[in-house]
Amino acid sequence: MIELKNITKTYTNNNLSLQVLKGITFSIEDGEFVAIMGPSGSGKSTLMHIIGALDTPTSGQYLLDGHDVSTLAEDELARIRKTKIGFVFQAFNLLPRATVLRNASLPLMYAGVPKEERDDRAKKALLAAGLLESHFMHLSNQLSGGQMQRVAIARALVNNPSLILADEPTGNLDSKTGNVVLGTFQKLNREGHTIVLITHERDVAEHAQRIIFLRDGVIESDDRSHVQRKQSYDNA
Amino acid sequence: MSSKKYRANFLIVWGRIIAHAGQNMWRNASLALVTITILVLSLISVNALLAVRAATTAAVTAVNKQVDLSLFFEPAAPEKTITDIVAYLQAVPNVTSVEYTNPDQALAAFRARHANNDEILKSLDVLGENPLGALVVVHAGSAGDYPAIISLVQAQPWNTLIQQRSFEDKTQIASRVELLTSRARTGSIVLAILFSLIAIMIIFNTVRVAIYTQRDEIAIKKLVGATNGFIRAPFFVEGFVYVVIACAVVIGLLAATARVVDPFLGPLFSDGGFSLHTLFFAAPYELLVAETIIVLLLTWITSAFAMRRYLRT
Repeated sequence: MIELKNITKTYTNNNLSLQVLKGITFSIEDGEFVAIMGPSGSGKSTLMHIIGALDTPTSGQYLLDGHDVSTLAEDELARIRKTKIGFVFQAFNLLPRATVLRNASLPLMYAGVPKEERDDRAKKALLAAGLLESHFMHLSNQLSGGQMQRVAIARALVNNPSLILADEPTGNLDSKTGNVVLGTFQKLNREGHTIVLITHERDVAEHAQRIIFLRDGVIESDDRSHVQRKQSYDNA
Repeated sequence: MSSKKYRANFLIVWGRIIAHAGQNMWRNASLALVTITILVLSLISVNALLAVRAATTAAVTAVNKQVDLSLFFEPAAPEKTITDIVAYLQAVPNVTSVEYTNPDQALAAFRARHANNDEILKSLDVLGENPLGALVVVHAGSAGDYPAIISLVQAQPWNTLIQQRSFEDKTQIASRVELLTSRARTGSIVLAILFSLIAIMIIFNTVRVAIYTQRDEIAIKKLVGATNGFIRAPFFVEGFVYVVIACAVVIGLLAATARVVDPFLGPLFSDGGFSLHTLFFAAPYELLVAETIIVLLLTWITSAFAMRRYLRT
C-alpha cells in the first residue's frame, strides 16, 4: 500500500544544502501498525511530511495505493490528504473556536459532503474514538488533552482513510491518557486501519507491530519481531 | 460526478467560502473597518484629483472660446471677394467657425452700440455714407492655432483689403490656465499613483495581518485537505466586500458633494462645460465602473501576494 523507493530530501538555504533523508526505502502493507522511531534530527518528521503528502521528496518515488505521490502539485497533494490520509498530531491541531463536532467533520466539509451526512459520519467517528456524545457540542478548547486527542483521532478517521498518520500523539498527554490513546490506535488497527506512528519514545513505539528506526536520514533497523508478539497478545 | 451532485458540491463549497469570509470579517471587524476607510480615502483622493483636472480642462476650453481674430475690411472691398475669403477661411484646418458681418450690419450694430451717444450718431449723419467695412471674425480650436492663421492671412493677396486686424489676445490667460492644467494633470497622476501605492501597501498588510492571525487555522485546514484555492477564496470574497462597501460610500459622498458644489460651479462655467454630477454620474457611469474594477483587481492581486507566504505547505 505504501511504497517508498530511495527517497531523498535536501533543503537548500543560501546555497547551503542539508540532506535530511538519504535514500529511504521500505513498504507498509494494508492493516500494518508501524512506528517510525528515531532521535531528534533523524529525519522522521520530514519522512512523515512526505508520507502525509505534506511535502514531496527531492528524489525517489513514493507510491500510495499504487499512485505516485512524489511528483504531485499542491492541489493534488491536498486531494490525497483529503481522501487517503488522516492526521493525528502532538498538539492536536484542532480549531479552537469550533465545536468538537465541527472539528471532526472538517475533512468532510472540504470533500463537499452535505451537512447532514457530515454530522452523522462525524458523530460515528467521535464515538469510535471513544468520546462521549455529551461533549460533541463543546468547543474543542474546553476539553482535556486526552479528549482533544480523541477528537483529532475522530477527525483522522472520519473520511475512512487508507492511512492514519500519528506524529507524537502522546507527547502532550500524561502517561495514563497516553496509554488510552495508544490503546485506541491498537483498536483501530485491529479493525483494519493502517497506522503509522512517529515517535522518539521506545515505550510508545512498542505498541506497534513493527518499528523502523531512523538515524541521520537512513534506516538503521526495521524490526518486525513485534508482529508475532502482538499477534499473540491480540489472540490472547 | 453527475451534474446534480456537482452543483450540490459547488453550492456547499461556495457556501462554506462565503461563511468563512463572513466569519473572518466579523472576527477582524476593526481591521475590516480600517481597510474600508483607507480604500474610501484613496478613492476620494483620486476622484478629487480627477475633478480638479476636469475643472481646469473646462476652464482652458472656456478661455479658448473667448479668443478670436477679427479682420476689418476696407469699406470699398467687394462683398463677393469677402464671401470668397470667408469660404476660404472656413476650409482652413483648425478654424472652427467664421462669422461674417457685412458693412450694413456693422453700421447697424455700431449705431445700436452708441445709441445713447448723440455726437457719434450726428457724425455718422454728417459723413452721409457708411464708413465701416465688412467684419470677419475667425475662431480657432485653440489659442495656439492663431499665429499660424494670422501668417496664412498675411500671405494672401487679399491681405491688402484688410484695414485693421485685432487679435483678442487672451492667449496669455489661456496659456497660463493650460500650464496650470498641465501641472494639475502631472500632479494628479503623481498623487493618484502615490495614493494607490499607499492603498496597496495597506491592503497588503491588512490581508497579511488577517492571514497571520489565522495561520494556525490555515495550517490545520490544509492538513485535512483544504486546497490553496479554498484557503484563498474567503480572502478574495472579503476583498470584494471591502471594495463594494468602499465604492458605495464614495459614490454616496460624491453625490452629496456634487449636490452642494455644482450650484457654485454653474456661474463659473456659464456654458455648462463642467459639473461634478456630469463628471461622475453621466451614464453609462464608466468612471465609477472603471474605478471599482481597478480597485477590485488591485485588492485581489495585492491579497494574492500577501497570502503566498502562508500557503506554502
